[in-house]
Order: sequence, then C-alpha cells, then structure tokens
Amino acid sequence: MTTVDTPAAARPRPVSATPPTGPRVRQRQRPEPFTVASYVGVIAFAVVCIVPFWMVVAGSFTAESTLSKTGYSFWPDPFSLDAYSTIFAGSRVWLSYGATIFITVVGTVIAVIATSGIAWVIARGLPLVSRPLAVFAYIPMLFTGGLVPMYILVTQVLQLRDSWFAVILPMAIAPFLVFVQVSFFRATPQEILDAARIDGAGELRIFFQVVLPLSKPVIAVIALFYAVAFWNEWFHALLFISEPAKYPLQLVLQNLITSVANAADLGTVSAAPVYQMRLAMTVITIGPILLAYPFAQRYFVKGLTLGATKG
Amino acid sequence: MAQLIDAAGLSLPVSRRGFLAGTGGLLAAATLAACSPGGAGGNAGAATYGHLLPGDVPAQWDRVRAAVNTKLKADLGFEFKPSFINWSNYAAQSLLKFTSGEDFQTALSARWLNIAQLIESKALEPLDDALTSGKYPNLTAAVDQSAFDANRWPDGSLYGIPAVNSAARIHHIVARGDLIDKHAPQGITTFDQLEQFWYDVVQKEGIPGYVKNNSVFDVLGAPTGALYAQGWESPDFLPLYFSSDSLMFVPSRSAATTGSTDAVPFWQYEPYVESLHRIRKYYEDGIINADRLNADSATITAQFDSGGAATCWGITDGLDTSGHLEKLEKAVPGASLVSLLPFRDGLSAKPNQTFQADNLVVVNAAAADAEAALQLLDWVSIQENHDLLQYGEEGTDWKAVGDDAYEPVSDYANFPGYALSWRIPLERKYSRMSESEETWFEWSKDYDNFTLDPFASFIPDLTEIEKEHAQITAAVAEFGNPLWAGAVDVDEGLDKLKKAVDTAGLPKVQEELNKQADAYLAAQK
Repeated sequence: MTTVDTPAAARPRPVSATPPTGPRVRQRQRPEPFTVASYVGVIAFAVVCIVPFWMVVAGSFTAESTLSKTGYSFWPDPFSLDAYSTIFAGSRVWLSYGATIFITVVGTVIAVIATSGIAWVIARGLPLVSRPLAVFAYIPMLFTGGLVPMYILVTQVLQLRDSWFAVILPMAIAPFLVFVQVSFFRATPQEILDAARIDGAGELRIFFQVVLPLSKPVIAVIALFYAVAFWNEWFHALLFISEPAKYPLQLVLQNLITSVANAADLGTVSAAPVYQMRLAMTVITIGPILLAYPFAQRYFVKGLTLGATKG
Repeated sequence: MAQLIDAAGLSLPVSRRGFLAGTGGLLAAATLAACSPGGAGGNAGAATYGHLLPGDVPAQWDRVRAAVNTKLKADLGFEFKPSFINWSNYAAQSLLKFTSGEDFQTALSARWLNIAQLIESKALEPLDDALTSGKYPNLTAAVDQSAFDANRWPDGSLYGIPAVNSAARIHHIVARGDLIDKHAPQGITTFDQLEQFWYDVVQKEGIPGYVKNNSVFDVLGAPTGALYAQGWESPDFLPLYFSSDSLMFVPSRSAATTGSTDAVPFWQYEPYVESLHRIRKYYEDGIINADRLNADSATITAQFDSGGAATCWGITDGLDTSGHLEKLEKAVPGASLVSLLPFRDGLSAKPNQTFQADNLVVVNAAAADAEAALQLLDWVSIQENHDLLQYGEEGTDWKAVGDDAYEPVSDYANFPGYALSWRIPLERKYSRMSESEETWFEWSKDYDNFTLDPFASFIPDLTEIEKEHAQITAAVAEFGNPLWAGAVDVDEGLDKLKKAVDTAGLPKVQEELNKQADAYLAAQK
C-alpha cells in the first residue's frame, strides 16, 4: 500500500559521470513501411482538417471586398479587422458568450451529476431498481417522444420559454453516456467498496468519497462530451428562446449565416462586412471549446492506462 | 487506500458537504438567473400578446417597441410582444407553434408557406364576419376590396389580411447604375440590351453579370423572371402548380374561352425550354454565379452589396434601393442603382397577375383574444401608428420628406411590415429611392396596370394526389433544381426529370390538375 510510484516526469534522469568512449556507432534504423504509411496518412488527415480551419481564420482577417469576389485564401490580403471590430463593438456577442458559458457550465454540472447518479444506481445491480432504471435510460436511445410533445412539455408544462434551462434540461441525460459510465462503475473493485463498508461508510459516503474520486477519468470524459454538446447547442435555443438578449453564441452564428440583417444587429454599423463576419463569428465561437480538449487530455490518457499493469 | 488512490493520480478526495453545498449554491444561482422573466415583459396590469414575425430583430427594437407599446396601451389597453423567427426557420417553427396550440395572436402565412395545412387543421380564425362587422374601419379602408376578394380560400372564407404594399409584385433586375453608364451608356430597355450588358461586364469587369440563389421563377417566369426572356416580351400567362416547389404546368392560352385547361408539363412549352438552354449558356459563360445551386440569399445579397456583381434579383415592393444602396456605396464609392423591367411594351405591358398576396397576416384560432388581434391590425392601419411601427419614432429614427417619403436617420430598419402592417395607401417611400424604382413602384400599386389571370383565385386541392405530389416534388428537387441553376446539360437533365416524374405518377397529377382547373373555370362563368 505504501509503494507509491513516482510519476515518470518527476523522476530525476540518471546522469552518466563519464562521457562514452570509443567510436560512436550510430545505428540507422530503416523505418517500417507501415510506420511511414501511418505518418503519411495521419499527416494527410491533419492537413485535411487544418486547412479549412486555417482558411476560415485567414478569411476572417481578409477585407470584405476581396473576400466576396475571390473567396477564401491562405493569407489575409488585404488584412482587415473590420469583422472583429464590428462584432465586439456591440453588446450582442458578449451577452451571447454569457449565455453560452452559463448553459455549458451549469448544463455540464447538472448533466454529470444526473448521469453519475443514475449510472451508479444501475451499476449497483439493486433488485427491483437497477433494471427498470436501465430500461428507463435505454428507451430514449431508441425512441424519442417527438418534437411537438417536447415543445408542449417545455413551453406549456414546464413554462421554460425564454429560459436557458429550456436548453439544459432536455439534454441533461444522454443515454449513451449513462451506459459508458455504468460500465466504468462496474469495473470498480468490489474489495474497495467492501473495505469502505467495513470502515463504516454509508452508501452516500461510498459514492462521494470512494467511487467518484476513482471515477475522475470517466467523469472527465463525459463532462467533455456534455460540455461540447452544450457549447454547440443551438436547436433547443432556436425553439425555446425568443429573447435576442438570451441567444447563445451558436444561435447568433446560425442567424448570421442565414441572414444578412443579423450582421448589422451584431455591431453598431448598418453596413456590416457580412462574409467576413461569418468567418470571424466561427472563429470566436469555436475558439473557447477547443481549449477544453487539452485540459481533458490527461484524463483520457489516465483512463486508458489506469490498472493496465495489474495482473 | 488513500495512498493507493493518490498513487493513481486521483488525489484530493471530494468533500461531500462541500460538493453538495457548492452544487446547490450554483443551481440556486442558476435558477434565479435563468428563470427570471425576460426584460421585455409587459407592464403590470396590461395584457401582452405574442405575435410571430419572420426575419431579424431590427436594430434598436427595444426602444421602438416601448414607444409602440406606450401608445398601444393608451389606445387599446394592451401591449404586444412579437417573436422574431429567422426566415430559414420560419416555416417549420411557425407550423410547430400552431401545431402545439401555442397562444399567440398573429403570424405570417401564405400559399408558399403552410396556409393550406393550417386551414385544413382549423388552426386559423376565419375573418369574414369580423371584417364585415364594421368594428375595424381603418383596416377595411386601407386594404382594397379586390385584394380581399383575390385572397379568399376555395371554401369562400377569408383567412388572412393581405399585407402588401403594391397591387402586384413583379420579379425583375436590380442593376448597378454606374456600370450601366460605363458599359451601356445608351441605357437598357430590352432584354437583348441587358444580356449584352451582362457579357460586357463579365469580360471587362471580371464579375458575374447576375447573381441569385436558385429559383425556378427566375428561369420559368411567372409571368416575369430575371432570366426569362419571353416574359419580358409577352407576360401574358402564369403557370399552374400544386405547390411552388413542385412541377410547373402550362395551361392552354384559350382556356378561359373554351373552358378546357389542357395543362401540360412545362417542357412542352418551347419558351421555357429555350430559357433553360439560355441559363445553361449563362452558367458556362460565367454570366450567372456558379454557386447558384447551393448559395443562400444572404450570401448573394452580400456579394452584390460588396460590388461583386453587376445585377441581382429584385421585386416591386419598393425596397430595391433601401435594401442595397447604403452597403453598396460603402464598398463602391459612387455606385448607384437602377431597377430594370425590360418589358417590350414598357409601362403599358399589363402582365398577368392573380393578385393573391405573397403575405397574409393570419389570426391564430388558439389565440386567447382574437378580437385583440384584429384591433391591432386595425390600429396599425392608421398612418401615425403604421409609421411608428414601421419606420420608428419620428425625429429619432426618421424624418418625413414631402408627403409620402421618409429619410432614415437611425439604424432602425427592416421591421417586417409585410407580416403585420403593410398597407398600400400608408407606405412611405425611401427618400433616396432611385428614379427608375420609383417609377415602377408607383406603376405596381395600380391594379389597372395588370391583367387578371383566368386562374387568379384557383387554389388546387392536393387531397387526391398527395403521395404522387410528394414524389414529384422530390424528383423536381433532385433533377429540376440543377436545371434551374444551369448546372447540367439541358437535354440530359430534362430526360432524367421526365423519367422521374413519370415514375412518380405524373399522368394522375396532370389529370387531377386539369379536372380541378376545368371545374374552376366552369364556376367562374
């Protein structure tokens, strides 16, 4: 129990006291064809992904008059910040950022709590509870109630029109992620849970102080999935939010793509650079959520390697 | 055990109390923030009614709406709170709101939207009794009786108030006046001159002659289309169709006299086929935009407004100049606009029209107070109220120029009056409206400048051929759209379209259309 391993990154590297003597034999290893093909394939795929994104970024800095005539280019020429200055001149984008951040943060917290809770109960295998709950969670993967019933439920029963919770609640439990978490919970060693019970822990203490800390990797993964889904969500906002001041970013972007007049509404000038602004809004919209991936990356790795060396 | 957990990099056990307290606090704050009523709520004591409007929220809308509501509350005792729905989502969203029985007062509808479904499902309030009650004198005075008559449903009822600002909307071309001065200094009065202008612009300016997103009416005119040459020669008939996204049929020219419609598919009408060949040539020569098939209207408008094309699409609703000029001048200093309707017979062309309104303001049958909806429609039929809603606060948003024009002085613009307040006698013209647009706009307001089409109020019933119609519509989307865009060879494309619609049940649909149209003609006699 006390043989705590030191993370590799913190371990001091051995330093040889004397330099190697004698002729230095350099072995050139011929790369395997599969490795070469893999690198070529991965690089080609990366280029296919990165080039369009880069052209969107470059286009967002290209003057409207050139962009509308010649289309996309690799380098912004002539360089122009018109789109960004127009977008940030008005308050709409800031309000939308606030809306999207609220929906993403609160939605992710609610979704993770709800998903973890239902997943743990299903994973516990309790008689008369777990199986019906599993079926209850499984059915929405196959069938949905339909748009009209959901619309009536949200607007007329729950009275959530123009509320951000109208966007959050319909997405609070993703059945697929429930089952991802169930399978993770089922892999929790029974001995640990038994030990906690012997030490006098109740079900809640076991869940909060044993299971959840052990489940950080899967929680990070589902939180990322939820966060990305909430960040990108526009359809529920389109259905349920009619107050422009409460529009999330994605809905503003969707409106901008489908309508010229919205561009003028974003900034303070009526002759807005529409082409350029669409691209700038795309950059502004996808930027923050991209930053979530590096933070979640380490949990992905741990999730894969955790317990890999156990016999 | 804790050390084991630490060893796996999962240190910092979660405090249950802290976790619960933090989450509870967050949710409480969230609930307060997200569930608080919106800032646009009405004043206590006054009823606030919802309305569906297509399009975008106008700039400075909150201020103008507050001014409108102040006056509305003083005059009628209630306020209004419209929801703006983006055009691309309007049809589906408005249908959803009607279907779910939502409580709102009015919406925009029309044949090209979903009025047939709404009437069939009894979602709309019939308006005849209300309009003849004498309780809405301003409304009935502002809308011509012929407009009401032309917009009756086949069951004889009126389900919508025509919201138009002209007698007929004629599709045409909006052109850069500065480029016409440069490349066609003699002016453009015929379609041949227009075509030559397009070719000159492409060769000498390096920009497309005409840009638009894909539309069948641009190519197979009804009766005019920007690219339909025959329509400018003799705009004397309108195609028949079950829905505008389905197959077009051409009725016999003598139908009104013989009583026999004898409608045939559009490819049996030579000028339409000729038009398809012309579009194909334009596509290959770079006269029209190559992305026509997939481009959206916003992109096309932005392209024209930034100087990326010589001409674009227009319609005689008085918005050609106001819709483009300011942005165009910013991109191309010194640019000007001209509205082109190159009729062979000029202002005496008398094109065929149905006078069916493109926009109808319908009253929701599920509205809590349908009478209030009509009171609002009557209220916006008074010049002062109409101006306040449509142009904003006088002095702050606009100032009067002469008796019938306005000059905008703020950013408030684009209120979708076509979904609520357009009335022909009340409309003001944009003070910088081009001379050519003013001429044609005034011309389009006079019912006498048009010929009533023999099938003017014919609205075919889909009930008997719903399945075939759906399949034909899908075939037209697959094989017709590339033809309208000029993106495929005409002969090959037409062959594919003919085969697809034949398989889908063209004979049955054609027979049903002729049967209903013949019955309509018989009833007219």
